[in-house]
Amino acid sequence: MPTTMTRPTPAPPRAGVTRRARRILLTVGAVLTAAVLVRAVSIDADAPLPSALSDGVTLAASVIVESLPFVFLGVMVSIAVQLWVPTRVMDAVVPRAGFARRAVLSLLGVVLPVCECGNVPLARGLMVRGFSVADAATFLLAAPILNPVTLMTTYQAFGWNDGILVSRLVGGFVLANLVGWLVSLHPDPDRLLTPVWAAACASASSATSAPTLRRAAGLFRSEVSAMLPALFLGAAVAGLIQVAVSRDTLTSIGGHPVYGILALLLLAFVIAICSNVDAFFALSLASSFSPGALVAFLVFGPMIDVKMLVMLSTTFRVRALAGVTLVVALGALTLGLAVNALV
Amino acid sequence: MSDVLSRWAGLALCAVGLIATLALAVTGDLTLYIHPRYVLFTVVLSVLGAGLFLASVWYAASGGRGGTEDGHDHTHEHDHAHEHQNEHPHDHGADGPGGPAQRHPSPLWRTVRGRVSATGLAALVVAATVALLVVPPATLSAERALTTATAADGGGDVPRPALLGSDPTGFSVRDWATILGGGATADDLVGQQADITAFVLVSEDGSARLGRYAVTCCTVDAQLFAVPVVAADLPDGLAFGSWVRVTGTFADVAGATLLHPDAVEVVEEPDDPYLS
Repeated sequence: MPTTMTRPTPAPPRAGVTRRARRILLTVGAVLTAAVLVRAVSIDADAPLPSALSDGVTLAASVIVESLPFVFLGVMVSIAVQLWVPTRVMDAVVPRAGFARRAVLSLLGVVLPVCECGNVPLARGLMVRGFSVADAATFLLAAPILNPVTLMTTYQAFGWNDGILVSRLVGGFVLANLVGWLVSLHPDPDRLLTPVWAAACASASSATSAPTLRRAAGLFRSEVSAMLPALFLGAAVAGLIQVAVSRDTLTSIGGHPVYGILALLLLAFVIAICSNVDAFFALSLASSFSPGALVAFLVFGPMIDVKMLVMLSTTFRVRALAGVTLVVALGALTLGLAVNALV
Repeated sequence: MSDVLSRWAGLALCAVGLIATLALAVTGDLTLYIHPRYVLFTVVLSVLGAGLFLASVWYAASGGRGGTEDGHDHTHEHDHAHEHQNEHPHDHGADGPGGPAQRHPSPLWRTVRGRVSATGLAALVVAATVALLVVPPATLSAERALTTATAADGGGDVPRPALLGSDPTGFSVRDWATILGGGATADDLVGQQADITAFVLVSEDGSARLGRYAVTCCTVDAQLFAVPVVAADLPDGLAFGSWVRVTGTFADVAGATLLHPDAVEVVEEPDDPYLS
């Protein structure tokens, strides 16, 4: 991120691994060794935890283990975009004008196939490169749906049945661009961002003499410092909800044309599974829910869920997120009702 | 203290996640949390992430001195003084009056917020360490299964097996559950020998089932599949949730199709407790 690049002093001389640096490295090394030893000892131990607590830990851990590599992938692509893709290349490829620009950006997921957790660091990287808030919002909402992996798994799960695949594709595209358009109407879009992040974008400068690896390491560190606390907190909340609220209260609502949609919207929000594979999960609900409810689940889930909201709160203000959540939920509900009316 | 935290908390969580993931990979237990198809992807990205992590630690240690600007991450309190020297170099759309400067909270509020977020970060690092490194990996409990509705069909990407032309002794709990869920009765299953490994679920009304979770992506989406079994044929003193290997045939009992065990053997929890 920016300030690591604008550092005025040159890199310290090679020989100068100072005493302080050595002390820090030794401390980090000792802590890491201790952590590895703890894990080596505890990994085969018996768990004396009560079952609800144990399940909560297991569920939260599984969200982290599943998402972490995607976050790394997103951070790496984001670093690559910031370091090696010149702004003029993007300006040449992407149209400048509002609608066309956002329409093209919502298809960016096809060439940068990262699912929703990885999209957050990537979108932040694009904003540092000068993308507007509306551009970034469109990309964030569209990319998890409009990418090859998600479409392939949706096809594997549903084929062409009930127009679920087409509704998901078209609905996701339209809804993401609708939100992007609404954001672009805002008189001062930077107000939608957290002050810290808005300042970081504003101070971004690509002029730097620091070596590439050093800059990459700095970007990795600042992005990880922003994303991982959010991811871990989101995972903990997701695990807690899964233990506290029985999934069956929602799935038992079943086939009602309206309540069924609302139930699956709520389920998508709390379950926080990855857009790349949520179609398989939705398939298991297909026998008890209407096609419209499934489409609503498949469109809403990749855009908004509890883990995503915590991760997005590193970048967007709470009020902006509440607005986006409301629009996306209403849009997904409308889409679900339309599918039910047509199919 | 809060400065150290805001500088190192992200990397600490990164280290916890990496050690947990790679340790599970070494012991072959990653499938306790994710579907086998993601294991390779997860290991490759974790190794790459570990490389970047080590580089970041190296530069973080040898780079900034004391509390200099360098490496201050933007999630936390941060000195914005220099930022207004350079006018927005990028087009951020309509950047109206009232730039970021006028929205800065008061210093007192920032101090309070800094304290709160530092405490929260410290708690998060401790909780993550305990949950991912100290607590041994576990599978979802059988108690949870008792309050979970069973899936009767679908089962994610696995189709319902065809009875004709396949060897039913290779069928899993899920296969039998979907066959029964499809309306098969004992008449359809005459002569079909089941051989399944599952955990024992006994409900309050005394009815018994053999259950097993299936995972399509990660453990969060685990779905329970279960086959009803004749409770009286299970050995006495079988602990709730204990894993058994059961061979038997299906019989109609009072209008329901139940598994009628010929042999029940108590076994260790398998290495792949979740069907995938």
